[in-house]
Amino acid sequence: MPFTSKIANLWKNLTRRHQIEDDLSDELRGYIEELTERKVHAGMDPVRARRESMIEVGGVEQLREETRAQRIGFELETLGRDVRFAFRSLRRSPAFTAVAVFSLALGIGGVTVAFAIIDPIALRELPVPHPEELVSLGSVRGDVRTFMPWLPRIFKVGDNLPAPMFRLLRERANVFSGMFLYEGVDRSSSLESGEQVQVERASGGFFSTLGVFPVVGRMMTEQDDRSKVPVAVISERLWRRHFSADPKVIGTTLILNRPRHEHEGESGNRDPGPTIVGVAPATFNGLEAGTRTDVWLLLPPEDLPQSPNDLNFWFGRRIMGRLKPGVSLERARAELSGINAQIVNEWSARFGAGWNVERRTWFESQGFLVAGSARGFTSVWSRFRPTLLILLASVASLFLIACANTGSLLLARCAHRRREVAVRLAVGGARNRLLRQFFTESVVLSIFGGGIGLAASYWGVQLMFGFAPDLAAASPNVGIDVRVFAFTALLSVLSALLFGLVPALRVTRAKLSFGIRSERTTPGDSASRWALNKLVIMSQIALAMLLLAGAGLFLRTLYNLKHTDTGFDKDNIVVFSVNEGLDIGRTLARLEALPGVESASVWENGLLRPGIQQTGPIFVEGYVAEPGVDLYSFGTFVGPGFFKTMGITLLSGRDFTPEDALLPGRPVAVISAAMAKFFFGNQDPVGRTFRPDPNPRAETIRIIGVAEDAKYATLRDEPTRTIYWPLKKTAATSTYAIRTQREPAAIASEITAALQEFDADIRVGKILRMSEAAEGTLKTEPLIARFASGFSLLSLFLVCVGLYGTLSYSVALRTGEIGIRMALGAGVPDVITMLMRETGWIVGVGIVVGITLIAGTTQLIASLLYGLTPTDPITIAAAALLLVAVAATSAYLPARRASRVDPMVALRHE
Amino acid sequence: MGSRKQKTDLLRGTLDLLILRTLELQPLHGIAVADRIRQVTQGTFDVQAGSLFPALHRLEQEGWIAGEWTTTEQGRRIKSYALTAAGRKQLNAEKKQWDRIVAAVGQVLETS
Repeated sequence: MPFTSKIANLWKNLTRRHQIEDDLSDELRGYIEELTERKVHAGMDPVRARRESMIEVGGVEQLREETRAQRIGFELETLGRDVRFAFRSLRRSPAFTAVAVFSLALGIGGVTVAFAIIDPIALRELPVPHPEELVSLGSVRGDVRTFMPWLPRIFKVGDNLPAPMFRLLRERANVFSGMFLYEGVDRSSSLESGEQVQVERASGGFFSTLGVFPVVGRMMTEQDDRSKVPVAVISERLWRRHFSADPKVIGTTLILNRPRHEHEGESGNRDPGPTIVGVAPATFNGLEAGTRTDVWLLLPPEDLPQSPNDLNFWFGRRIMGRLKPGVSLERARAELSGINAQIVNEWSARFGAGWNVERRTWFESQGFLVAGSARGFTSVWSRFRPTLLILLASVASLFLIACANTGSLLLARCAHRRREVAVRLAVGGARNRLLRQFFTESVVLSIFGGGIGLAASYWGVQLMFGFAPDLAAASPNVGIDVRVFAFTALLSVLSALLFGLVPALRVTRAKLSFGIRSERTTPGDSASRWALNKLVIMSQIALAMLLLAGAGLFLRTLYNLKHTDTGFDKDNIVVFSVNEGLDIGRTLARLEALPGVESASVWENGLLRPGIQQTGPIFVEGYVAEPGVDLYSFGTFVGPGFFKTMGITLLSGRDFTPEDALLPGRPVAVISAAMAKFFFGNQDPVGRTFRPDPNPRAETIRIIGVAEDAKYATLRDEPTRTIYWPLKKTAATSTYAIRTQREPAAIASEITAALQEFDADIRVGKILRMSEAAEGTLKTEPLIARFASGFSLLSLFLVCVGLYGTLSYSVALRTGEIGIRMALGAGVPDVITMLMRETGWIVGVGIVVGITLIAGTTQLIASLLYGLTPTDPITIAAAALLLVAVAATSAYLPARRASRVDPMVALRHE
Repeated sequence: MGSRKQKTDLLRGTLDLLILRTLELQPLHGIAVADRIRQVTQGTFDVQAGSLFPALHRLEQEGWIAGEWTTTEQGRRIKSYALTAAGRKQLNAEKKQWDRIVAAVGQVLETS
């Protein structure tokens, strides 16, 4: 009962304020009248009686306020009043409001965009019950190559557990309520219609362990693991889009990756494809954070190993499990280690001789990693991490600058409002109420800024994705949702705390007498007030300095990479691929016959084209390898005249001729300078031999030439040990190179026409200048450079606005002082110089602090840079110069305005 | 500042009890409540408007007393307050609380 009456009272208080206020007035008036009557009754003069009564009651306004404070919902009412007041006050200074809201919108919007992008690929938990119980299993152990030395080092043997162990672990482990084998996503599959779909392959326990239930049909189960009949579960999205949400799709066959030309004819005795058994709910997008899986295929766990050789393959397979409630990661780890020991013993007993010492030791040394996987797997995040971290750092700095900006403007504004505050304190306003009121103003600003930032972040994300199409393609789940909304709301409040609290505290601490006596301040007071303001501006400049220098470093890195010496001629070479293999001799001859073509050649793998070939260990007669040193090399196959066409200098020996490719086996090779130096030191290796095989009876290869080092996989490559073999047959992956002075666009149609003489159906890929192809290998760097420079320009702009606004206010405050100076004979240049010098100090200190900041933080991005140190002096100097120029411009305008003050007007102003 | 507030709080609790008890007998308007308290306590408690009105409004907001507007013969609007059922319950609770305090304080005073 009291509760409902309270609600009723609250409702009444909020909706019928006027009536309640009138009632209160009546009640108090009645009280005073009755008091007066009594006094008159006792024989007092009516006028005096009324006065006495009023004195007895005390301050009526205060009494009303105290009585009001008893009302339920009073706080809400006060808030409403504060908000209304804030609106009025902000409307009175539209320039300030516009600048503050704009800065905050920029700052908050930027961070919101970064959050919206990062959240789905790195932060969000899987939409399954109790995601915190999910763990992925991995192993810590030595190098797998101790017993599989033939594995090239380039394969990073992940933390994956040997898949053959999966069955045993699932059977024996007690701490798990479910476990499944998982192969990660495959984005290269397509449906019959040619539509690309993302596929995940997992063992039958996948859905039951995760706790995902079908919309229609059933999920694949561990029963399917045993029967090994291929089954598939499809996403609700695919079901609606592709099968019109028809429940009859259950039991039909899903056709995946069927080559096009099989469409018309009968597919013969091809594997018919998996049977669709169920549809997964729309909320579930698979385990790869931020992506959308459309098809889940059964991946039956491997059979138990029959011989040690069955233990070889486990690349790309992962084990994931759900811990029983309350089981700690340590306990799971301990149990798994125990099971591992059992398994190793059993295998030793069973396999006997084939189970050699290395293998056994390796398995015994295996320790288990049990890592929480509530967010699923985050490979998209891993792939874009450097870019996104730079983005995050940039927007965070921008956010701080925006807060500092608004804060400094507020501080300046507060100086203007001290008179208002002093009057209000003098007439009995409570300091707390004033503080709240000022702070409410900040919150209103931040909510507006946040609101606009949130709205704009939709386009912000689009803009980012426009710059980063790869990222956009990899993360389809980005959107402005409830989480983003909550984040932005929180950020807005945080920003209000950052920029609004100090000014509010400051202004309400005003001394009564000052503000009323005169608007101008005494020097001491002004100094302390200014110190804080200066500090805020300095920090802004320091942050902007950091962003500018960062952007400079990335831009110069990009420039350095684009202009790095690749070892081959990038400018006079045109490259392209053809969709099928061609006869080398005829094709090159035809290409060389084109007008303006000096020579033509072809290659496969490396030299900044897709495809990498890594050889095994290389053995050279007379070379004794130090232990632990890798002996591998990279390899590529090249056509005749390759080095001449590519402009790669031959340091010794000769180029390939068409005859080299005709020799049986691959008896001759050209090696790179780095390889020559590694194996032969300063001797000329031409005529010497090497073996790509430890077996002494294996084929030896004669070195016919040494080529200058060329970039192999990326522009960042250090000189790479490379072997060039003669190319025997071209394929769709081969790259043709044409040496010509002509523009790629000009020669393109001639190339296509020439090749179509061989086969009318031939398709020629993109015809590019080699420099464009080389720059195409840069994925992260241009993106980072773009993000960093974009945000540093925004920060520069904010600093500009902040500096201008603050100085304008401070100059306005000092009108009197400037008037006096000018009355005493200071000229316009003197005033400008004085004001500029003061600003110069602030900017100077800000830049120095910024440089310290750079020295402390850019080490973190050292690995992303190329061709310069993280504290590159030229970049830092350029950033500082830019800042000084911008600061000087934005300080000059208010200074000039101040210098035009008419001394008489300024003094009369007092 | 702090000590004054404590005193007010102590008084406020007592004042609530006094007002509730006063209204238990009959509905009264503001000044009459103050008069009654002064009479009953023989002038020990002289409740001023500054504490009376906030207290009355607080009790009203809590739902322990209900205000009702009437018009006097002279045409003046008067708000008189009456104890509600919830207020009666609250009064009993506060009475018991008061007795406990009195007993406890008394005990302390006797033993020392």
